[in-house]
Amino acid sequence: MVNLSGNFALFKATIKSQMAYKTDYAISLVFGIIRPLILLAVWGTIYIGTGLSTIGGLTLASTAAYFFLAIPVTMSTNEDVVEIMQGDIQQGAIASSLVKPMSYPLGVICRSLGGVSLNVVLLALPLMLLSIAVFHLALTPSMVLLFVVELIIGSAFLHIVNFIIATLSIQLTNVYGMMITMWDITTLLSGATIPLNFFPAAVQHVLLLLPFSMVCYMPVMTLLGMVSEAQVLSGIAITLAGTALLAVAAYFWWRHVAKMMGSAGG
Amino acid sequence: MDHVIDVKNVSKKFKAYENKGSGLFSFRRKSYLKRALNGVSLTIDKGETVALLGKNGSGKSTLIKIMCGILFPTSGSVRVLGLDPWEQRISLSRRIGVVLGAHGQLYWDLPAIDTFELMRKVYGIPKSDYQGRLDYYLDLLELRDVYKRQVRTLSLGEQMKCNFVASILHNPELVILDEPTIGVDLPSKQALRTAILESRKENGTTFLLTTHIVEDITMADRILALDKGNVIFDGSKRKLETLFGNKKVVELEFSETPDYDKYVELGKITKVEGNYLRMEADPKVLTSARFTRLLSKGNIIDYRVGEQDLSGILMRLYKVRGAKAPRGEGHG
Ligand SMILES: Nc1ncnc2c1ncn2[C@@H]1O[C@H](COP(=O)(O)OP(=O)(O)OP(=O)(O)O)[C@@H](O)[C@H]1O
Ligand SMILES: [Mg+2]
Repeated sequence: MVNLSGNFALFKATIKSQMAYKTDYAISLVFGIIRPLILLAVWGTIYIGTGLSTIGGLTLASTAAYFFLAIPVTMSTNEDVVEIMQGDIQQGAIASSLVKPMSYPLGVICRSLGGVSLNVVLLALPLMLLSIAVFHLALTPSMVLLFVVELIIGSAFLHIVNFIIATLSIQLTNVYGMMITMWDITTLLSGATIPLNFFPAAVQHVLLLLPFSMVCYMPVMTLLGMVSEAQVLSGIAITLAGTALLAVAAYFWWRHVAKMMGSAGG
Repeated sequence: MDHVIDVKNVSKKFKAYENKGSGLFSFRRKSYLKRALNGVSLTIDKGETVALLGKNGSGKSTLIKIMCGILFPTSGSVRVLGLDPWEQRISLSRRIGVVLGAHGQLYWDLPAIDTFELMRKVYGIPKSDYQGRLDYYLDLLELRDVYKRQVRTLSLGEQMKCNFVASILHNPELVILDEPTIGVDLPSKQALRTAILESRKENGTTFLLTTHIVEDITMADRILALDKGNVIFDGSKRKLETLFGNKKVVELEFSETPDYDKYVELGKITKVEGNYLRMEADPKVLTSARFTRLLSKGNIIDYRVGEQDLSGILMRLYKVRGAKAPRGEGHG
């Protein structure tokens, strides 16, 4: 039996507690504007230097729009699972969580979703609306619907992947190296810093078959109207299957590591 | 009737690492199995208040975590309220309240009341019950001025008290407290004890607590002592006193410096200061003719007989019964 009201209360308490860091959000908002400008400066130089009008089918203007959307999209699919679990283990709070009538993994995901919701409302949504206005994007209701579904599934996938990564921190003392590597891999494979179009055709083909593309590339291209519905639907199917598979693996993996766990002293 | 806690032959080994060498670049580590519990068996019945004692590292917290389903025992069997803590952790946690030292469940950036409200939802406590209990504990532990302030601004003792309240609001049948009184001031320690005693009387709640504080032990009906993962004592405080503290403390004050040598044969002199003498003596000595003779002859102006204090008794328990260290098992 899932403790629904308990998990929902946990979700709300996390949001309330995160609100103590309002100023951090203001800073992140500024970064959300500066980061795409930097990426644009890099790729703009390449466009101008090579004299190409399109790279991988993207004009400089659509590349600009891509980066301004990629930042809020990754802000929405991002998660805090590793930080939450690492903190719980280091401070010994995991033991206190385990004496509550709730599933620990589910609780972690609810806490992460609390943070994600704030990111979406305070950062991603304003930045997306800004980009949509600046780049005059013509959105249809079906595009928006697909986009939202993509975000949810992309986020679910990342949560599960990072839950597995975080459980490794029970066995490794330093998970930060792994965390950063994972972050880099996600950034690369999801197209957050390099649109997948820029890769050679063969590589691009493989990357599109991976669920990571649902974390950034696919939702952004959906808003830009540059992928077909068929492509989006097959991407969603792949990600859903991958997520389900990983969720089953994560369930058994958690049952295994929990037994090995030393928990924190005291 | 079934026992509230039934632990049979439980062992727990941790994989631990030891650094070889202490240099900055010595990364070679040796892994070995650290035995934290070594075949522990015990039972606790409904309504009992049991103090779990033992030196640092004796295995108290490990045993408690196994009872709560946080740790998986290497071998042996555990039943708490008829449930298997590992397999039925969630069902069990609805019925028990656990305070694990200073490791907070409180939201650091929010006032404690938010954590209390969270617990109301997590345990599904009816609103009226919740309000009544909350009011009771806020008054008892003097938390009225505290519970609406951000937890990070509270003192250690205030945090501990809020932590205690958050763990007990759902009115559990069994309460397990791992060092609940760290950093708590004397009046509040007393209040915590009152809360425990009242809950025991009103609801028949069973309590198991670990502590290093002698006064906490006085409210226990029974004492369990661990040493190096073995149970070295299980019985009442009375039994502990008769086994390990069967001496009376005799204090004498003289009008002039006496001949202390005469007293050496009566017992162990523990303090001499001017005309004051304190000794530990066998109760039999106190009724002996020799002693009464000394009393009447010696120029004694004051005379007191008391019990040995509990910390002395515990020191002796650890020394006399202290288990031999189990050998670590090399592991590559
Ligand atoms: N995760 C772990 N890995 C390795 N060894 C551990 C681990 N947890 C505990 N131990 C060891 O097991 C032994 C028992 O620890 P435990 O925390 O149960 O002691 P304790 O009786 O609660 O001590 P204290 O009074 O200091 O709280 C100690 O020697 C400790 O170092
Ligand atoms: Mg301990």
